[in-house]
This record gives sequence, C-alpha cells and structure tokens, in this order.
Amino acid sequence: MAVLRNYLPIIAFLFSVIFMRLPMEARAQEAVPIRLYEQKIQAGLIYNLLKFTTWPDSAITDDKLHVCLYGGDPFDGYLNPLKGRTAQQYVIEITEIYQMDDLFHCQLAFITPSRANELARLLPALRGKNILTVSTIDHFIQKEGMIEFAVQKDQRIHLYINGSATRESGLTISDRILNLAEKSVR
Amino acid sequence: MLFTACAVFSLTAQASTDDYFDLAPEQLLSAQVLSASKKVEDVADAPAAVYVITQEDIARSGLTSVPELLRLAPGVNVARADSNSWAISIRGFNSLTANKILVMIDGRTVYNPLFASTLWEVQDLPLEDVSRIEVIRGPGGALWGANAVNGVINILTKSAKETQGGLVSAGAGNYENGFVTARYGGKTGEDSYYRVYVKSFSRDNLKTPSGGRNHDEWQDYRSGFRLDWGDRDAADRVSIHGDVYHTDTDQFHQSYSLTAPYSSIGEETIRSNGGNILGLWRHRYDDGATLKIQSFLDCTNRKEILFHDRRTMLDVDAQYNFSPQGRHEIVFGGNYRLTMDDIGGSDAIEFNPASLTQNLFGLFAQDKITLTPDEWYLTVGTKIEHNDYTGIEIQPNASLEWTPDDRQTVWGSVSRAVRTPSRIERDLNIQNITLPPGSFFGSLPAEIILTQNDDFNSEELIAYELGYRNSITNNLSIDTTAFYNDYDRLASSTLLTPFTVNNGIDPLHLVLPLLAENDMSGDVYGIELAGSWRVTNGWKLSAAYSYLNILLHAPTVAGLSQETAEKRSPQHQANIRSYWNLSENWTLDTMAYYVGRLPADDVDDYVRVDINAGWRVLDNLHVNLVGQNLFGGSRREFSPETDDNAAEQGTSFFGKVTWQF
Repeated sequence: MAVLRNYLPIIAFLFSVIFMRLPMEARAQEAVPIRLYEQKIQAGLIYNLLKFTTWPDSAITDDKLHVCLYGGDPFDGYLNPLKGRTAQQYVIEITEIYQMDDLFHCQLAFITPSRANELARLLPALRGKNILTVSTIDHFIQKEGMIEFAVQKDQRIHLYINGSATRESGLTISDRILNLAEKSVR
Repeated sequence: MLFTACAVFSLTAQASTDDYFDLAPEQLLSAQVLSASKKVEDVADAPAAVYVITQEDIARSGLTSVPELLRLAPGVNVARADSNSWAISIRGFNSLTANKILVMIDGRTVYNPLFASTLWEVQDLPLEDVSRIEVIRGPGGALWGANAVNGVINILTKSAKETQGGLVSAGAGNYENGFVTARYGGKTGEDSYYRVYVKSFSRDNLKTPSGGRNHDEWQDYRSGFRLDWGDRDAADRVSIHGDVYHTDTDQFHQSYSLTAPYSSIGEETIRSNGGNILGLWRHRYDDGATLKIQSFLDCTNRKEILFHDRRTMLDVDAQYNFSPQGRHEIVFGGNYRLTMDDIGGSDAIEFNPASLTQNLFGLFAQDKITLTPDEWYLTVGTKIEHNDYTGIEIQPNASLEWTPDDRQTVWGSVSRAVRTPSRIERDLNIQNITLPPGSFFGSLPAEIILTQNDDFNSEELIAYELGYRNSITNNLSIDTTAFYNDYDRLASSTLLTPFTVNNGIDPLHLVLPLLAENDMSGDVYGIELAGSWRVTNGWKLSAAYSYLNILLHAPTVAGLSQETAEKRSPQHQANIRSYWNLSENWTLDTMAYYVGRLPADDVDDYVRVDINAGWRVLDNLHVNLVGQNLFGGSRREFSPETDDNAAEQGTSFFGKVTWQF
C-alpha cells in the first residue's frame, strides 16, 4: 500500500477535477453558443442545400428530391425526419444506396467516408449528371466533389464548395449559401 | 452507482435543440460540434503517435494477413520467423513472444496472459470487412491498462450495415495454397443488420536455411457473425459479434535426453481452436454524453507436445464519456476480467499451479482540458488496476497539445506503463531440457532447469514523447514523433551457480539453474516519421521511416538477455508505397520495405518489394495479381540459423478474384 500512498495526490486531483467542476460548469451554461451533434448540424445543412440549390427541371422526374446516402447512413438517423417534408415544391425522399448504379436517379448524393476509396471512379461517373455531391471526406472538393463539410480544430463545421464542378453539372447554388463557403474552387 | 449519478446529471444539464432543420445555415455553421463519442474513436487527432492502416491500404498492399499488414505502420517491426509465426513489436524488444504491445479486435483483447504476447497465427478475420487498424505507438496504460507498454493495436471491423450484400473472394498461388472468404450481410428489421462469414486458407511451408523443406505449413478455418441494431432515435445501439476458429500449424519439435544422441527432432501439428462472443451497448444522451458497456467471453485451446493450454476469459467494461459545459471532456470507467486456465505440462515443463483463476479490476479517468480554445489542450488521466500477481498498478498519463493553426499540431506527453507478469514468468518450471557435451563447458552433458519465481514483478516504463503533425497542403502531410523510454525491472534470465549431479540414475551431468528475474533496466530512444503525398488524383505516395536505439543495463549473470534484447530489433526501418490508378479499371501498386540487420541472430538487412496489379473486370468483379518478395532471393527474417524452426522465404505470387453481389 506504500505504492498507493505515493499516488494519492494524483488520485485526489483527478477526483477533484471530475466532481468539483461539475456545478461550476453547469452555471456557465448561458454563455455557451449553440451546441449540436455533428450529425444534426450536417443534417440541417443538407436541408439547406435542398432549399437553396436549383436543379434543371429535366433532372426532376417524379416531383421528388432524392437524397441518396451512398455507403450507408452516417447521420445516425438524424436526417430521417426530413422524409416527406418539402424543399422548394418537391417532397424529400431519403434512401441508402450501396451500388454505384443506383446513384443516377438521385438529386443529392452523400458519400460516406467508408467509400472514400471509390471516389476516383465515382465522381467522374457522376460528372454532368445534375447530381449534387456532398461528403465529409477530406479534400473532397479537390477531387471534383461539390460540397464538403469539414470539422476543424475550432469544433465547427466548415463549408467548402467547388463552384465549377457544381456549374458543370447544371446546378445553381444560391448566393445565400455560396457566401458562407470558406473555400470555393471557382 | 457512478453511472446512474452521471445519467441524472446529464439529464439536468442538457440543452435540447431538436429543431435543427429550422436553424439558418449561418447558425448551423457557427454551432459548436458535440461529438464526445467520436472523440474516443477518432484516434488520429489524439495527442499520441497514431498511424491508421485504412481499408484502402489493406486492399492495395496485397498483404493477406493481419500480422503482415502491420508492416505498413511506421515504428512497427514485423519479422516472419516461419510460415506460421511472427515476431512483432513496437519500439524494440522484439521476440516470438514480444510482450509489450496490446492487441485488440473490436474491443476484445487478444493479449495472451500465458506468454504475455499475441499469438498472431490464430488472429485472422475477413480482411474485406476490416474498417481500419489503428496502430498507437507509445504507452496506452492510462486508458487500456497493463501491457499496453510500447503500443496498442486496435483492429476494427466495419458495421454490419456497411457490409450488406454478398462477397466472395478466393485465390491461390505458389505459397498461398488456396484461400476463400464468403460473407453475406442483410437486414433483420428497420434498424437492424447482420453479416455472417466463413473464411479458410492453407499456406505452404517455407524453406529451411539449408534449402530443405521446413515443416511449417498451416490451415485455418473460421466463421463468425455480427449483429448491429438499435432504435437510433433513442440513441441506443447494440452490437453482438462472435467468431469460432480452428487452426493447425506445423512445426518441428525437439525432444531431449542426457544420453546420446541427446536430442532428436520430430514433426508435430499444433492444434488451436477457440470461440468468442462480444456484446456492446452504447447509449448516447441528448447532450452528447455516451455510456458504453461491453462484455465478452473468449475461450481458447492450444495443444502441442510441450503443453496444452485451455483458457477462458470473461471481461466486462463500462465507460462514460461527457463534456460538461465548458472546457472539459471527461471519460471514466471501470472494468473487471476473470481469467481461468488449465495448463497441462509434459516431461520438460510443468506449471505450478496447473489451473489458475485470476481477477483483474480496473478504474480509469481522463480529462481533456481546453486551456486556450483552438490552441492549447491538456489531457490528464490514469488507470488504477489490481491484479492477483502484483497487486495495485497505477498508470498515469499527462499530455499537452498545441494547435497553432488548422494544419499543425505539436504535442508532448509523459506516461507510466507496466507489463504484468505472465504465467510463464511466474509459474513455469523447466526440467529435462538438455545440451549435448561441449556446448556449455567441459565434456559433460548439461541440463537446464528453471524454477518458478513467485517474486517476478511487473516491468515498468516511464515514457517521454514529443510529436508534430502538419497537413502542409491538402495533398501532403507529415507526422513525426521522437521518444525516450526509461525502463526499469525488465525481465531477465539469471544463470545461478551451475552444479554437477551424479545420482546414479542419470549419467553424470551439469545442471544450469535459471531464474526469471527483473534485473534489467534500459534506455531506449528513437524517432518515427510518416508522410503521404497525393501527387495527382490517381497517384498516392506514402513513406515511413523509423530509427531506434536500445541500451540495456544488466548484471553480468543476466548478460544473455541483455545482448539478445538489444540486438533483436532493427535500428533502421523504412517503407515507401505507391498507389497508382492507371486508368478507370486498372490499378498498379508498388510497395518497398527496408528492415535493418538483427545482429543477435545474424539476420541480414533486407529490402522487400511487392507489386499488386488490380483489374476491375466489372463493377462488382475484381481481379488482383500479386507478387511478393520480388527481388533479392530468399532470406531469414528472425530466428537464428540454428533454431529448429528457422525458415527462409523467397518470391511468391498469387491471384485473387473478388465478387460482390
């Protein structure tokens, strides 16, 4: 037990950090800005992209905006409440997709990071197809992706837009959103 | 009790903001990200030396086993001793039973308390289902407990949802006699997914150093499943996974006697089998706090001529992770592990006691404190464990992290870690292992005996690390670490005073009594560098280099352990890899690995070159042709030439077809 005694100050310190701090921090709550799960922020941003992007009429065949989650749902279900809501005059549809061929009927394709290794053939295949590509994969816009959500050291989500790739696909993103992007490839 | 208390706290402190769809884009972009659960999983951002082997690396390296894949990580020394055994270590002390790294597969430890090491030949899984392998160099004792001394390796599989549909991959070559994996994933309900797999392979023997046929072929058969489900709106997730396996590995076995011919070599097949099941429940509170409770049961069985080990491990682990409003990110938890074993001996070895039940209790807490937002972070934590051999072990860590901008991170840390005694070090008795006349001294045959040492203690490390990471451009990043490790009470074998025995039964012989002790200390330092550069969209280069210097101190009677431990890890190691997309459907990947000389066993340095050509025949049909060890002829990577099982490997080729449906 002599060994334990040497470490008592460390243990005491840790317990004080954990337990003494709590009430104090709870009081400081008002000063804190909005805090949200990353998935909720991203889901909110997807909704805004649906509201502020114009697809050519020919791209929308069934009066629906199809949001396709390629490689699964990275939003932990937080995007699902959008199902059946409308953006512009279209009903939003959300589908998980695992085969590349199923992407072509989508208006917005979200590529999960687990499929990052497929970008090199995925993005060229989608080029010019009226599909807004969105991802959290690093350097997504440098790889010809259109919209990138990046969590930076400041614990905020940063929006990067590849303007030329978006225009090439016949999509128009409103200045409302473009002006918020920090790194646009024009 | 503790968890209930925290759950109550988190309910009162939560600020519910469910209408995130009603927020303006400006508000969303200025919201602070809450992702406490991600923090723990996202080790790449931790103030530690971390390297992540991704699914891309796995697919493109052409390597076919978990131990071989570790060649990709900087600072890891992978030496293949024969077809079915590896010596793998981080930051020195390599041996076939390297004892200072903790390996986990989906949170289940595969560290074997009998040898204090990982039996790599029985650790396998469908590589297509691996999400990533996190290789953490340096001590992880503050989070993971004892035996995470020089590093931690986390092998993480994809979720069942990410492995939907069917996959069949199969192939063969001149060393790979044949391998096949079949996996199918489906849905069992709204939010629940499953996958099942079977995998099997047969690998050929290597050559003996004199060019003969080594006896080291092996076959492996395994099957497993994973179920993931939960009501995601309630933020509860449950996973259950399990595996069963059977592995047959061949080796030469030596038998001894005190009369001529003193020893003889026979062939044997080691039969290993086992099964495990793990359950994990994760609950996320609305303010981002998470509660994780995991339990697993792992049974293993290994039978060879020398001994027969049956082992059952039951482990329960709980952790609670929360960020009280403000500058703290706290994780704390506790664990309990029950290990029961039964070891049958032989003429040569005996364990006393032969059956043992051991209990391990642990508590840990860690707080990441933001000193200056976006700039300075301090992390302090400790694990306190109680084990039956050495009692209470305390393993604290403190690290300081500075992020001057988005691209750069500088970090430093000080930690203490221990390696607790193995069953072998505490309870093994050896007799009847003999040396022919003339091999020690004089003309007498000699017998080696080892008597168990109940005082064998934990090895201890104080580690100092300094690291720097920089994403110089979006396509170029580097990561470098320097460390100094100060070891004390390292394991050593002490040769006690030899004596002669003339008992009238055995011939007159010399007895060499050995004792396992903690008589060695050591200073180890080194640097590790890793970089990656995306040259063009279709071409990526990665490189790694590591330097290591080991200085051990031991009294002369333990000099043998000092010599071998110092000289069984290479001073220099490097690798360079090129992943090149030739066209839409063709990839050509080239990997070169350099491993320095091992003076202890007269193992030469070597360069290994592998090439993997991939052809996408159809969207769901891929063909790969892989050549390994292409230049430089055959070579021995680890055991001395005189070792019964020493092996040399040469060039090998295989082809592989992967079909997804």
